[in-house]
Amino acid sequence: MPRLLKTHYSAVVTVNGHVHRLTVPGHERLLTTLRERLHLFSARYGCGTGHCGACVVLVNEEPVPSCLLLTVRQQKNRIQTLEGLKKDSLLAQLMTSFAEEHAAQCGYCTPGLLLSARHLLKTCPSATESQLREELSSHICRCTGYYAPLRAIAKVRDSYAVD
Amino acid sequence: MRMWPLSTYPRYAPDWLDLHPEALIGGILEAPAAPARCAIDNLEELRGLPGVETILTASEVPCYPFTTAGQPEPEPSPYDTLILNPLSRYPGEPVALMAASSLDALYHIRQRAKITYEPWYGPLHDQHPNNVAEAVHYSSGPAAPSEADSERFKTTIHVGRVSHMQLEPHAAMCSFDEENRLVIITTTQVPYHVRRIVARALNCPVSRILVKATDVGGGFGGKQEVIVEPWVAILAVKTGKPVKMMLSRRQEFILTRTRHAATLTVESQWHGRQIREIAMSADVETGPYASHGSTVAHNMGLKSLPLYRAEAYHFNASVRYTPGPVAGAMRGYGGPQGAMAVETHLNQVAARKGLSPWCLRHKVLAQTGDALDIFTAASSFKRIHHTNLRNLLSRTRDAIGEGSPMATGEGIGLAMSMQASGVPGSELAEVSIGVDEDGSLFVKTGAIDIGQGARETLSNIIYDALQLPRGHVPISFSMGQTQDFGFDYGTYASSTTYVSGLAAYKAAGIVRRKMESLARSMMRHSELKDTPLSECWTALAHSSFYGPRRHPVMGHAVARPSDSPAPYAIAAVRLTVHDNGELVIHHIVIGVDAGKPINPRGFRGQIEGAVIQGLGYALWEELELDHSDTHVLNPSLFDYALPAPQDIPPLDIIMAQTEDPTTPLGAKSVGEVALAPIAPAIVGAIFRARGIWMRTLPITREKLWNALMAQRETVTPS
Repeated sequence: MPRLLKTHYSAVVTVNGHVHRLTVPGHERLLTTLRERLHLFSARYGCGTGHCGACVVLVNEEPVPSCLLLTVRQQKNRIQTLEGLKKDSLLAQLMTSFAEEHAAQCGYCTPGLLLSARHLLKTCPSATESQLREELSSHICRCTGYYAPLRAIAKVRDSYAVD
Repeated sequence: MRMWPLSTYPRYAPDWLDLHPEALIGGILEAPAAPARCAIDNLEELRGLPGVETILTASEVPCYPFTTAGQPEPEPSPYDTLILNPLSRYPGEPVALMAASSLDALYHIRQRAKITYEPWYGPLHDQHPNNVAEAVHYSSGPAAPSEADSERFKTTIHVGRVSHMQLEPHAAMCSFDEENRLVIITTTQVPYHVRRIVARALNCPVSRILVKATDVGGGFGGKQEVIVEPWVAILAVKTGKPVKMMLSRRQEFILTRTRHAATLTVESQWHGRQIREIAMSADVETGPYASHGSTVAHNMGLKSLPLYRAEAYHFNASVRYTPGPVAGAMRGYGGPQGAMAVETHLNQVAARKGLSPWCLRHKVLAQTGDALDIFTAASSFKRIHHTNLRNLLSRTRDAIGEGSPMATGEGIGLAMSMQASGVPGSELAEVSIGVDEDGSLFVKTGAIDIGQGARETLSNIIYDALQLPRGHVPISFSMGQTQDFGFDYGTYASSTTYVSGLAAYKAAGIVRRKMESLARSMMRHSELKDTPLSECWTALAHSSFYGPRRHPVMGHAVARPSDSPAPYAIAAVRLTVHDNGELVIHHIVIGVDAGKPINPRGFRGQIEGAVIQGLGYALWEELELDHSDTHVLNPSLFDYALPAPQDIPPLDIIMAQTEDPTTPLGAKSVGEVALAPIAPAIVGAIFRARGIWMRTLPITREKLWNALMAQRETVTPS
């Protein structure tokens, strides 16, 4: 088959503080790059259309579905996945709280929930119940009915606000 | 603590697929229309495209009929499908399977494929000329009850098809091991059924296939179906190379499974406040392949009618082959459809009789000792009700505040449901527990943790049976690895705690007896002081490998219970229906009798999750079909409505504090039971709020508004 157009481009992506220089197809999405090239499995495919939140990563500290981002457009962005936040104390608290509340049933949606919850509590430490729900509404969790994750996040919020 | 699901290490099937870039990528060429005979006109051109390894059509794959329903033998589902069917019976069904070195190559095949089709107007399956896959008739009790001074009531409801919407799509990879066996890595609830069904489809011995089940990112019955595995297996066999395949979200909606759409009619004959006769007839749409159709249809009657005392029961079901997506097992397994019909019927009867739904149920609820298996022959094992639900009914009634003043448009609804704990008379689970040299335990089982907390539940059962404090020694699991043994019919029918848990309990008992015997023998030889087992556990374990009486300790046990006690749920919903059709749910109370909770947080999580799936079933979710009932109109998360966090009402759970007498664990099952009563409870509440019966699910705002408009036009004098 004739190849008339250039299909692969060089891309520079900064993920969890590491700079990766890659050659990727122009249409490759960040989710694919993270999973297949960098083996960061906390971003997960759920729908490919940005509705389910399973592939959420932090782009310059904002939670964004990585299935909607082109890898070649990320050179100026700082990308963080759950793997790169192992030392983050707020995230550690959230993870403990999730484990205690049984908020991760199958666990597939959980990294996305954790990143969004961390973002919300960072930007709005005394978030109300309706703000919590609104933040989680960009994620689909089919197992828990959202009760346990909401309890887990509220628990961290209450202890966080006191600190 | 449930920490391990927070791990980001590769543990789901899609993760393992991504770790194998060398594997070919499998894909399917989908039928554009159905039912139709499809052909690919430019097959040779497609095969010559760069990167394309193979394209297989129906004539090039083995033709051994099988069923995709993961059930034990003798399989109740008809063998009505092939790896590739020459007649495409639903849009999206594979016309051809393909394997290529890159996704781009698959994309090019899809773009260039010239698929022509010839519509098919005959029956979907030749052996069923009227498209009826199975007709079921059951009857018990006196043949013709007397008609004198009795009242008759009739209710018809319709429930739509919904999608499982597990977040993790179906994904599988097939490769070869050093002995040329097929190794299938897959996300499944039924690893041993996957092995057997793939072996049947390929006509090879089961020992040639190893199934490695991964952690499952949501099952709900959708992964009780063997869908992708035969496809990757045949592609791997034909190419001789590893092949992986993951479905897209759109494919999840159109070519995996749905909950059965059905129209159900319940008729009953009453003498005062006693049911003389109750009859259900179900028209079940099972899609173009029967899959779980007949067993789901059976359960529509068997999981709803025995809740109530009647002199006679009748159940008829017609399981029809229909175009459109294939229906299969889904959380509730017939229970949600059956409960919607029977509970709505009882609520209607109560309204007609001028009784409250609570009062009527107090009169007609089954008692302890009444038959659960209302239709089985007298000679075979008959299950009975083990508990009386009247106390739980009263507690639920008090918690929802029945009798307190109501605002305009406010109403309270009630409904009940029951499930089973495993398939009655058809369960087998094998568990092996070994003690390692450091005292830690390894457990081999075919049960899977699909999110319900099987690991924590089995761990708690094992600690308790060993009389060790929970968490005293680490437990590691091998779940669903067929090469490790630990046979299990699989994680479905709410069976893990009752069946696999019982096997774990027995195996742990064996381990305890062996460890105690080792301790006694060491004490006799003064190698050990007289201490409780928990304190000398590690020393004993070490000694069992390196001491003078070395003999590693292992326990192996099998559970095949003949009973399957029913867990029950009583749902009470308080809601308001506004004039504009807006429905606001203020409170849901759910009373649950599921025996003794072994893993309380998991128990609660199962109820909460089931309630919200039940809420979605009642109010929003529907896989819509086009005018010809074939194409799915909303195969994306943009179009398919799911419950959102903002929709989640306050929920209170009331536990019945019972212990089941048929198992030493005292526990029944809780995975599915809380889903079914939500929809009929909402229907009942809407009636009490507004006086209208919503008989079709889902009750969307549009439907509710139309019903309110119709009511207003009817009651306004002209």
